[in-house]
Parts: sequence; C-alpha cells; structure tokens
Amino acid sequence: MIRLHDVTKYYGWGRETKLVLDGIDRELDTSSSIGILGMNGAGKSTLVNIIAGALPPTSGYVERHVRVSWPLGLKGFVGGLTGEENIRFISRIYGADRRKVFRFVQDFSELGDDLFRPIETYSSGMKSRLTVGVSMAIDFDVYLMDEGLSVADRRFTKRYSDVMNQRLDRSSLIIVSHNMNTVSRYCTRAAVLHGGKLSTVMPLHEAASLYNRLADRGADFQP
Amino acid sequence: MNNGATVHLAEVRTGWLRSLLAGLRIQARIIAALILREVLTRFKRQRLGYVWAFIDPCLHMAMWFVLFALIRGPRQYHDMPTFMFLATGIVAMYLFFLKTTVYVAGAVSAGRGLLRFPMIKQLDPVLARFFLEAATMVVISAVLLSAFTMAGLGAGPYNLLGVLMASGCLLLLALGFGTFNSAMTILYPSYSRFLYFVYRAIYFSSGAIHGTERLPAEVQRILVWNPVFNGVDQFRSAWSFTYESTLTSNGYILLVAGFFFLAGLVLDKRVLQVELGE
Repeated sequence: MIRLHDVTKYYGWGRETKLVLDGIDRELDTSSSIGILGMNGAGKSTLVNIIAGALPPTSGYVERHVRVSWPLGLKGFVGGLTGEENIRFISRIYGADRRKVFRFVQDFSELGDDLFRPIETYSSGMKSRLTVGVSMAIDFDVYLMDEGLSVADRRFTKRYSDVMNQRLDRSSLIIVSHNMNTVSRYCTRAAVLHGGKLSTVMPLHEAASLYNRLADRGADFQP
Repeated sequence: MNNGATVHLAEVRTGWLRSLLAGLRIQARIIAALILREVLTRFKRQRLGYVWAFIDPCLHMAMWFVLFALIRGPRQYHDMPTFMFLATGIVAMYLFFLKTTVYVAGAVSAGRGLLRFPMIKQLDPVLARFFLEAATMVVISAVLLSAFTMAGLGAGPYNLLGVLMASGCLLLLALGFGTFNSAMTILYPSYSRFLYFVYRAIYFSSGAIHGTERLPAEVQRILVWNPVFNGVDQFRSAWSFTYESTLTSNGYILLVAGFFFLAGLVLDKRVLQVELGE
C-alpha cells in the first residue's frame, strides 16, 4: 500500500511558480497493477518521482509500506559506460549481488555482447530491456514505470513477457502514460491525473472513458 | 519500575545508534559506488588522465618560473628559493583549492540522472567527487614536492603538521565553495560565466604567484580577506622556516568554508524545486 498525504508540488520559486500537483490525498492499493493516465504536461513524471521518493513534494508526504523501485525510464544511465558497468553501479547502490543481477539481465534482456558496449550506442528498445532487466533482478514490490519505456515493444519476445508475468505474481506495476494501450496491457485498474488532481483508482474501462472525455474537452479548447 | 524504565531507555539508545550506524553504512556504500563510477568515466574519457594530472601543475610552475627568471632575474621570495616558492603556491592554490573546487562544482549538473535513484541526494555526488579529487591531489602534491626536495630545488617541510593542516583547510574550502557553486550553476545558468571570472581572480590574487613582502600594507590588508590567500600563506609558512605568515589564519578559512557549505545545502533544496534531472 502506498498512501499520498495531501501531496502538493510547485516548480520554480520566487514569482514564477507553477502548480503541478494540487493536494493529492489518495491511497493506492498495490496488490495489483495500477495505470495512471494523464495527458502531456499533466505531471505524470513528477508524480512518479514523488512516489519513488526521488523528488520531495513541496508539502505533504508519501507513506510506503512496500519496496518501491526507482522510476524506470530511459534515463538514469551513464551514457559513456557500458551496460555491464551500469548494472554494477545500480547493484552497488541497492546492495544487490552484482554477479546475480548481471546473469539475470544477460539471460533476460538478450543483449548479448551489447552489454559490453557503451549505453550511448543503445537504441531505446535496448535501453528499455536493460532497465527492466536490472530492476527485475532486484526485488521490488512495486515497479514504477515512466512513459517512454517500451514495455509493450513490438519485438516483445515470449521470454520477456513470461518473465514479466512471473514477476507480476509477486509484485505489481504502477505505469504512468498518456497511452491507453500501454496501460491496458498490464492493468485492470487505473486512475486519471488531470489539473493537478488524481482521480480514485477505478476499473480500466471507467478510467478510459473519463480520460477520453477530458482529452476531448481539451481538444475543444484548442483553436 | 525504575529498572524497567532504564532498560527501555537503553533500548531506545541502541535503536537510535543502530539506525544511525545502518544509515552511515548505506551512505558509505552509495558514495563508494559513486566514486567507482566516477573513476571509470574519467579513465575512459582520457586514458592519459592521471599522467596529465601530474604534468598540468608542473606546467604552471615551469611557466611562472621562466617568467619570473626573465622579468626579475634570480632572487628569493621570503627567503625561499624561487622555484620552491612557486611550487608551494601552485600546490596550495591550484591543486588543493582551484582544481578541486572546479571539479566538485560540476558534480550535480554532471550527475543529474543519478538523482532518480531515491537514495542518492545532491550531496552524494558532491562528496564522491570531493573524496576522489582530494585523495588524488594529496598524492600528486606529495609526489611532486618530495621529488623537488630530493632534486635539491629547495628544503623539505619545516612543519609537516602545519602543511597538512593548511592543505586540509584549503580542501574543505574547495568543498564548501564547490557545493555552493554546484547549486548556483543549476539555479542560474549564466552564473558559470561569472564564476570563471572569480576563478581567475583567485588564481592571481591568492599570493601563489607573487610575493607579498613588497606589497603596500593597504593591498595586503585587502588580500587578507581572500581565504585562498590565507591558505597559501599558511601553507608556505609551515613549509619554510624563513617564510613568515602575514595576518592569516586557518580558522578564517574554515569559517568561510562552512558558510559556503551551509549556503550550498540551503540552495540544494531550491534546486529540487526547480526541476529534477530530466
């Protein structure tokens, strides 16, 4: 269970401040995966970073009763270092056995010799496989997935989804995205982030219709 | 009952101590991981990295030595041989302060992606860079100054403890100033231009490459406010029996270092209000 207590987030300081999250007070039942739908600029990344504990809210706090991953996305790697060196670094900061983590990623990501090449030569699909691989090798109860991570890659191999489903028996995901398809692949429940507020977590089809209504109304406002 | 309360208090104490120790252990693990990562990136970027680290200060010393010889001819500064006078100045001002602080100041902007790992806070990359650079600078200085002494370019340290104290104060000043600047360069991107001017001003006004004994008293009184000038002066007066320190003190350096460090910590909170490393 993750509980957000009146979480408010402003960016900027002095006269130019921007309210991104407006007093979100929600309980997220993490026994199964949750999707968070939001349009571009709705504050999805901010919310995920706050849930992870990477970013402090301006006011309010987050209560976590589960082990939460870092916000998994395409960033956070050192481009000049190889995949293997990045795995070593992440294992070290989480105090995980780096040989075990490396073997798992080697097995799972099918990156082969690319693991010994610098990250800056990776495609976004390769980066996704590396990120997901490393995080799955370390035990988390909740995996936070930022948008852009191609969890539902077209070249999604059977092995990849097998491991993922096996993982999801014990853990769950919180996926933030502007894309319904990404969310529907793993979640049966979702919430909508709009105007700094987070809706309750509801069945996916309800969330989808709320999200579409909001998106349409937004489209109306565009000249 | 009394007894029970005592036991309870003791438990609270050990619990507090244990969690403090556990916290420190995690902190040490994170900083160690960051240092290893830093070594790896630096080494990859330029394989000559550590050779260059030795050549660079020697070039500064050689350049000023030649200029001094051409302009003023052979003479002594504060009764120190010219080369040793310059070498101690460059080690104190350039290695212990300037190089270290420039490197520390780049820590947060270079490692912003790291902040997405919840256990890594802004101060961790700063400390990692500081420990790595401080250790490197101590080794380089020890090797260079011992080599110069053995080559007969000047006498060895007269008061080794004093030399170490002045070096430590300059390193802490580099940490404090660097922590402050690492936050400032993120908050105000144009600040780094101003900073380069400050770095240059420090290079020329800290007494490393000029003697102070012939300067007018008014100028000396102004220079004394420069903490790096204090460091260079303290370093030399501990190194050489004949060099007498002017109105400087290590305490003043530490005071300025502490001020900048605390200001840096306050600004770090603001950095998080601006944006996360995206």
